Amino acid sequence: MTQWENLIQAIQEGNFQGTETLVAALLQEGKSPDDIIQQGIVKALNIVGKKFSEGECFIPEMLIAAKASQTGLEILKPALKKSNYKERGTVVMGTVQGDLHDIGKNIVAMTLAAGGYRVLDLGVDVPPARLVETVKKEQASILALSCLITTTMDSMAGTIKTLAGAGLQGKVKVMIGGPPTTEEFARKIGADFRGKDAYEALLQANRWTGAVN
Amino acid sequence: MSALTPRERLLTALKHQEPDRIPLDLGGFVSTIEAIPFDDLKKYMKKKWETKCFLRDHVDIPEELLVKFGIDTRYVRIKAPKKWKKVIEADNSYLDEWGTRWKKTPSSPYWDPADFPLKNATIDDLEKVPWPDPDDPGRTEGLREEVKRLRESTNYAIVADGPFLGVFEACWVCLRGPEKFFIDMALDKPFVKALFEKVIDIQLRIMKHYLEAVGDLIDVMVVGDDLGGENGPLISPASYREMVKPYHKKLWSFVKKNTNAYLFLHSCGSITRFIPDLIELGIDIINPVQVAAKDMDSKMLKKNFGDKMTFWGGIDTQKVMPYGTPEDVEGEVKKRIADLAPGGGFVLTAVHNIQPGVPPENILRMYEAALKYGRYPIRI
Repeated sequence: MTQWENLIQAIQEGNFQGTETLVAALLQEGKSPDDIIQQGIVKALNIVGKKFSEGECFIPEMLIAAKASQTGLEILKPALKKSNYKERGTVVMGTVQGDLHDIGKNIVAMTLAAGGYRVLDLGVDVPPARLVETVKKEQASILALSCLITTTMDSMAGTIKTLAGAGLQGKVKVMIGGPPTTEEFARKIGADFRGKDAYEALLQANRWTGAVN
Repeated sequence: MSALTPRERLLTALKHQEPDRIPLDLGGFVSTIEAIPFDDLKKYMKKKWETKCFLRDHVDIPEELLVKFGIDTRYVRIKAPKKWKKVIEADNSYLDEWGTRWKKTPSSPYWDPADFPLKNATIDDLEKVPWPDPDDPGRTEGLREEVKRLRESTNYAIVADGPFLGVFEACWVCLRGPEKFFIDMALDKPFVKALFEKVIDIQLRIMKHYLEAVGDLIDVMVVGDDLGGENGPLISPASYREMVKPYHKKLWSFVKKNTNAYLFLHSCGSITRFIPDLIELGIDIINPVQVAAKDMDSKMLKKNFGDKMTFWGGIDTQKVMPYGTPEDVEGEVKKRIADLAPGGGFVLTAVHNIQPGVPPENILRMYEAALKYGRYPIRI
């Protein structure tokens, strides 16, 4: 197996130490951080994400791959800074006001970060004003909203309204996710995309930023 | 067929025979109405009933409404332990007896776990945790006498509500937190096993006291453990078999040995891939039959498992009940009856509790349609 294949396997298995060792070794060999992200980390997450979407792997497998990706990224951070690596975009995300659920959002956050995005995860029960202020302050290109319960879907609509009130609708892409959401609901509230899972979120973010999928 | 008593009706259906009509259920921990839609219903019906709740916002349905709807079940449940009191704090949160913090935010109608007592625990820490006292007498104080009175003075089917969450759900939802626990499932199996051992020991003792009090007086015993999500199982069937199933076997075989009641498993989501295991473990009934989830088509479920499994639930609460017209609700009831009722083995109720936002007209139409179309032989 090549080092790339070993790295992809380590990430899929949630082998944090193995991931760190392989990323460090690839850096040592002179591979660029961007290559390591795209050829290793993102490839691994795409494999796991696709399997998850197709019902071949489940929450534990998604989580350990996402966490392993995070450990790999930590090793890359100094090299990324040194090479003036430009992240693909800034994503502000949160579970909307009134909702305390976060596991799906956390997987999306880890996946987008591993995919080369700067992710500002504001946590749970986040008021619309805070999400929009952060989008403005950090010049985010994507706002990602999550909810688990039907009654907090109104908070999603409220957040997009607040975004529009700040003059940012159309300038910032909005993606939503969570079990009660649908594509129809996304259209109704003015969101740009509704993702079924972290894999779809990454694919769509890449479409928006012109990155290769 | 001449009218059966509610108890006879339910037991006939559970034996996979056709009674006079489909048995109807309302009022359990997983089949009641939440306080907000109940208040809406009261207003609509111009009734002055008290909105009395158990657990969190789960309504104790007034007897008058149960009779009006033709409900065949009556629920009994374990009581609160003496050593624990619900104390709601300034931030609208409280600690349950296991140490989980539950919180209701201003814009949510639900109490949700907000902090987890074992979120940072190591395997050694599990010995030092202040676990609930499974022998607390408060749980069953006076219970036997109450259930005996219900059994002797009525002919309703008596359902013993589940005394706790299933071992898997208790650990990821309440004790450890979802992210940590699902990672443990993959990467720290010794921790998961040690935690499951602790929890199941406590649960077995609680169940022992519960069944000593009511085991010979009940028709159905409820246990629960959510294994599915909207789009599929939460964990792989292989993980389930390796790590969770042995503990389900421990608890459920204990129940089977200590009561003749039918064993009812509440398990949300897409759980089709687990059903053969559940049958093997002696589950007689699955609930809520989340028909909107992946691979949970009611026709397919009946065809593949209907000879061995009773389906209890089935009326969609994700789209039809909240967003449909009363005519849509009637259509939904007809469809599920046609799919699940032939041959018995079906008890009709909503898929889980009726939620805020469900119009009162829809609740009324659900039970009206169930009575209208639920006579055997089914002619839909």
